[in-house]
Parts: sequence; structure tokens; C-alpha cells
Amino acid sequence: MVKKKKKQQKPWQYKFSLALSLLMLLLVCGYFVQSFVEIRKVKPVSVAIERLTRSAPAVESGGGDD
Amino acid sequence: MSRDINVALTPQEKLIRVFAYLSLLAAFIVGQIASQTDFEALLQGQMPDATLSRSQANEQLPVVYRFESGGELSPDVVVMAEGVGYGGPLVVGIRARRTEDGGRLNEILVLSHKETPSFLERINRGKFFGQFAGKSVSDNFIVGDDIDAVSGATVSAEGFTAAIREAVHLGAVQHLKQKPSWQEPGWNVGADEFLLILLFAMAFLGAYRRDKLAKYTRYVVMVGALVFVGFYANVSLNLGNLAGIVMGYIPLPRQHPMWWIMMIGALGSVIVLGRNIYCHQICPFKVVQDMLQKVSGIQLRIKPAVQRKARTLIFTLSWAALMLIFLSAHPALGSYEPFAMMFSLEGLGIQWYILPAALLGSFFVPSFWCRLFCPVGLFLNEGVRARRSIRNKFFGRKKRKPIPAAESSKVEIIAKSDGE
Repeated sequence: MVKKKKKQQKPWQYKFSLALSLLMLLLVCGYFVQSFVEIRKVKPVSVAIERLTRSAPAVESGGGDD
Repeated sequence: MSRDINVALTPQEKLIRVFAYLSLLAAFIVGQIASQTDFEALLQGQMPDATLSRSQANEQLPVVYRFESGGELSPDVVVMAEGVGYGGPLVVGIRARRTEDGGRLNEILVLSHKETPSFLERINRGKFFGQFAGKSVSDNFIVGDDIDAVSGATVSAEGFTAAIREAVHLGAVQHLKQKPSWQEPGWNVGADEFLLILLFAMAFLGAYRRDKLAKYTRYVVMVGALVFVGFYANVSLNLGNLAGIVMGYIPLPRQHPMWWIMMIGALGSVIVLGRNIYCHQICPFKVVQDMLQKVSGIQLRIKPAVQRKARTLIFTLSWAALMLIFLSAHPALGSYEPFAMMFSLEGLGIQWYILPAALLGSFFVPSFWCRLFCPVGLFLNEGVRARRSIRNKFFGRKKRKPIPAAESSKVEIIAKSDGE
């Protein structure tokens, strides 16, 4: 059986697939940032944060968003 | 993806790997400590003006709070209930009042949950919790019986109902000294569960046979995966499911048999057979990608250098996702996969951009998501690899019988002549 030779891909095609991958990566990173912000809103976490802030001696406020 | 698995790690890579595992362990411990249930704090968050006091009627579960509002003791009490939903543990407060015939529910307060926000939105939109108002503590509280299910969020609804049922019935027995007159829920197994088992059975058949029947079976499984696993049941595996197991968020088989079938099918095929059946045949998103490829006919390749880094990239993304999941103890927050969104068309913020980008990528590059971003594929393939190395370590590779020196030269001569 004769092995089919893979068609050579043009440089711009490689660049295009790379650009798609980078775009996707950027979006996934964006999702992580969004999740990180959301974490503060998760009830047990917000309760834990509040508990910690309450027990800590008066610290300068970081401008909490809650 | 498993091309470079045998390449030895450099000392730096080993160090990075150790750091990754240690940081995950630290995140897990911190997350578990932070998410320990503090009923009073959760309840106070919901009722900021009330003065709460834990009922001292008896020390037995469930925990019950009395509260004062505006200087007056309320006739209501709040019964705390814990359960397991689709995403993990949930806590609800049941506002109830003692009556002549026992007790009645007034209101359900969702204090904490780990459900995917879109699922909870569906539940709230359907006024699910409103059904509980006015119910007697001795009612059945069974979805499909005296409680209406919520389509598209069945497991979450089941989880909330089970938590409420258990706490209310326990409260009725312990606090109100009632005798159980309610019906216990049965196994939730029906046609859906049977269909999923059938799909897995057919996938196994398709993976092990090479004849025409196997070919047709694969087509049937493909359609089944897309329609049933994707659009109908929307039970694709995601990183949150796998991380949830580590965190002990395992639903009862009676409550969510579909979860068990999926896990046994996907992880069982890796552990028992050493094959990743899920990714190749059951994953509905893989089917969508394959279909897009058929439609476009474009098969762009990724630079080999980029492809070689893909495994590291997925590892890094999975690490970041797991850090978020473990820190928040909330599996839905780290799962960046677009599966659930693809089949329910509900998502939050940036998720709306991830799905079209993944589809666009799959249009041009075959299995774009699987090859570069999917953490589920990575973990299942790593499982296959780990199984193989364990097997080789304990049972050894399949070795040829040692051939005596004199005979080995004969074999060599025969082999040469065969080659000629």
C-alpha cells in the first residue's frame, strides 16, 4: 500500500491555527479571572472572609465590594 | 497527546511538578477549612436583623434556630438542612412553624450551594421553592410525587428536595416526636439510565470489534451521544465532576444514578480496560467537533512545536482550574469547558465567548478543543497511562521467552531470509 504523503501546509495556515489557539487561551484565562472574582461571592467563602475580617484587628479597608 | 510521555523530566520540570502538586494540596486544605459549614453565620447573612439562638429543646439533629425580630420572639423556627446537589453540598434553612397537627413549612432559604449558577437560575425561575410553602412536615417531599421537578435542573432539584426531606422528617421525629407516616423515596432508575448503559455497552462493542457491525454501532453511539448525553440529559463529564470526587461530592446512587453510570463507564473503562472510551465515543462535544470538520472539510494542522507543548498547556490550565475549585470548594467555578453551555445554551459572562471560539477552532482544526484544551481528555488519558505503567511495574511487560545463543543466530538467519 502506498503511503499518502501529507499535503504541505502554508505558513499562514499555521499562523491562523496558532492565532485560534491563542484566542482560545486568552478566553480561558479570562474565565479564570471571572471565576476568581466570583469566588468572593460564594457564600461559605464570603462567610469565611467576613469571619476572618471580624476577628482581625482593625485593618485598613481595601474597599470591599460586598 | 501521549507522544512525549516517555521523555524523562528535567530537574526543573520535576520541581515545577512538585510545586504544582503541593500548591493543589494547600489549596484543597485551605478550601476545606474555609468552607466548613457555619450555620449561624450563613443564617445571619440571610436574616441580618434577627437575633438567633440555637434551640436547646434537645441536642439531636437537625439543628434548629429560634429567632427574635424587632424585640419579639418569632413563632417560626429555622431548621437547618444539608444535602448534595449536582455540584456539591448545599445548605438550606427551612422556616417552619409548629401547628396542632405537627408543623408546617413557611419558606425555604438557600444558604449555600455549589450548583452551576445557570441551574439555580432555572430552579428559581420555575418557582421550585414556592412549592414547599404550606406543606406539612409529615408530607413525602418526593420529586415527581408531591414535588414538581425542574426540567434541565433535575439533579439540583432532587438535591434540594432530599436535603429538605431528611431534615424535616428528622425534625418531626426528634423534635416533634411524630411517628413516620411518610413514604420513603425509591430508586430513581428509568429509561434514561437504561439508555446510557446501552450507549456505553455499544461504545465498548465499537471499540473492540473491527467489523461492519462495529462501524454502524459507532455511528449509532455518535448520534446517541449527541442527542441523549448532550442535548437531552446534558450530563457531559467535566473537570468539576472529577474534582468533586476528590472533594467527596458524590451523590447517592439512589438520587442520581446517571452520575454513577457515567463515572463507572468513563473511569471504569480506564481502570479496568485501560481504554478511554468516553472521549472517543461518548463525549457529545467530540461529536460536534467531528461534525463541524465534516461540514468544513478544512483540516488545518497545528505547528508540531505547538502541538508538543499542548500537554503542558492543558496541565497548566487544569492546575489553574483545580486551584480555583479547591480554594472555593465549588467545582462549577473552575470548569472552563463549554460542554454544559453548548447543550443548555446557558452560561455566565465570558463563557459566552469560549463556546463560539471552541466551535470556530473545531471548524478549521480537527478536534481543536480535545487536542489543546480539554482537561477531561487529559485526565482520562493520564489514567490510561498510569494504569499501563502500574501494570508494567507489577506484572511486567509481555516478554519474549529468552532464546539460547545458538538458536538466536538461527532465528536471525530465518528472519533475514524472510525479509528477502
